[in-house]
Amino acid sequence: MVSIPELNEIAEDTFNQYFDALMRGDSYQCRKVAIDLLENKIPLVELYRNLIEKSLYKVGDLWAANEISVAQEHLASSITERVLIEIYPYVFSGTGSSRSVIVACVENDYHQIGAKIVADYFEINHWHSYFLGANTPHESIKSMVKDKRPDLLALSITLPEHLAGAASLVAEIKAELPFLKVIAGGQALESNEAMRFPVFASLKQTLQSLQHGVLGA
Amino acid sequence: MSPVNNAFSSLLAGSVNIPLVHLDENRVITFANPAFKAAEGNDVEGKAIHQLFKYLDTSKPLPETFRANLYTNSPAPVTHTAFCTVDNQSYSILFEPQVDDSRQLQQQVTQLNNELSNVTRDTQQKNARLEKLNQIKNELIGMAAHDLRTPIANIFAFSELALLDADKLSIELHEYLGEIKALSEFMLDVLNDLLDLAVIESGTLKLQRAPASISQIIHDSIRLFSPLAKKKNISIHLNLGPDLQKVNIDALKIKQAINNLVSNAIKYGEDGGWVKITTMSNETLEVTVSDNGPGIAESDLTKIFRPFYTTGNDNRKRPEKSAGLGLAISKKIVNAHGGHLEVTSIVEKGTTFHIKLPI
Repeated sequence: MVSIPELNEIAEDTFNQYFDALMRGDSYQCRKVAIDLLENKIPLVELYRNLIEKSLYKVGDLWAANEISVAQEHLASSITERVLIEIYPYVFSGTGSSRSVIVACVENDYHQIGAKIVADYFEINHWHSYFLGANTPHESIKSMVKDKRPDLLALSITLPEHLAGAASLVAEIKAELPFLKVIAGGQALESNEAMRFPVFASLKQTLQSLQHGVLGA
Repeated sequence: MSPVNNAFSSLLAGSVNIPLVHLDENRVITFANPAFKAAEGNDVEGKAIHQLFKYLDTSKPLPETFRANLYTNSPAPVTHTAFCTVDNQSYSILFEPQVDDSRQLQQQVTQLNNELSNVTRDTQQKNARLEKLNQIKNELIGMAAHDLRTPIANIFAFSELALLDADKLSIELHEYLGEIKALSEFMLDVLNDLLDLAVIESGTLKLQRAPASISQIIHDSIRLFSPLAKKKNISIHLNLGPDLQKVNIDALKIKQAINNLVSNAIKYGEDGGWVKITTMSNETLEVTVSDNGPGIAESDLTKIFRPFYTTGNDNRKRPEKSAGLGLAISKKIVNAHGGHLEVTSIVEKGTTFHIKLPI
């Protein structure tokens, strides 16, 4: 039986159309699919979850299974960044918010798309997000936190080798700003290595409760 | 050979398609399977592992060396996995292949692309905020102008009524009332301009286009400003080009733009001067309004269409007050029609404004 997608859900055919374009490096088609969806009133969160995120996970799976090359994986990332630029006019409402978040990839972590998507989720939920990008020196994160005094600091850690540095950073920031809420996410937190740093368990939990609460999952 | 190595070797013997390597205690490769050789060369056996992967830190014990290099700091992910056994322990290692120039360039381009997309994100975020602030500003101006217009219109009307009984007023009171009337009239003009600007800038200006005669609009304008011109002894010359057909415009708005230009030319013109209005119809309809007034300094020419900008030009000996909105409104009206409003001027010689409208 063919399942009929709910209104406001992305149909499987549409996703496949997007993903095929992503795989053959057709940036124009990817952008067109995304914009057409938004013009057809697909909610932004649905677009992020079931088009952008889903396609990136699928790319990751194919790469892990050695079915696509590193070059193809990079191309897919670049096209995704380009798609995000195209949909920003829908993301940024310009509405002032009293709540703000700083989102950063930790030092030497060059995997920024996940963190950027998190920053965009905050924007969609009417937070003001400061996205600092990939490989943000820890000193820069600290000075930005002191300067902007956000309600929340969100750290993205992809690789387990960066957990120790991130844990030190969190400890240093907490020592100076004990009431600042910090959350962390990323593939590194799924690794066994993360268990060496109990702090990340609570940061991850805070992220999850935010997703289900404040951010409105 | 230990049980672990036995198992490892039997694994190696199989047709496994992932790179496998065995090192001795000196980190020398004692065995490499075909997949490893395909990636790194057929002559790898007998070489130390750090000869192949120069970034390996040989100062650390092997497990830590591998742990530190399990992942690289490079933005590009490592490209293949190898398994090796050392000291009866097996490790999985993600090896980065030798990086050539093109690969390095590709990594740099990726980084730059990412930075560019971050800057674009930042810009779009700031733009959205500025647009929102601009919208709030327009709403505020619109509300303030609207709410102030009625009381100021009343002040103007009452001062005018009071002046009707001029005989009963002292000279001093007559002068004060005259000043109140003039100032309230000026304030009304400013408020009307502010309301127009707020409507245009908020994007809610809807042109009511219909075929209209530009010559009729110009005649109406001359009629309106003739008393003022007469007062300053300024002559108005009209030169309407041939074949003037009706154009599809919002006549009221274009009249407002032309009125602004004619009014400025007379207001700021020297006593006894002239104003010329000409039209030319080709691929576009061009209306020019020229004067032999004090002119506008070159440094002001690019700024005069900004809202609230008034020239500090001493050449303009003008007693008239201006909020600096008329030209901004005129330009926006002409632009909304898909046309252009341009200016040329020579100090002490005069100024010409050109309205160019698509036909």
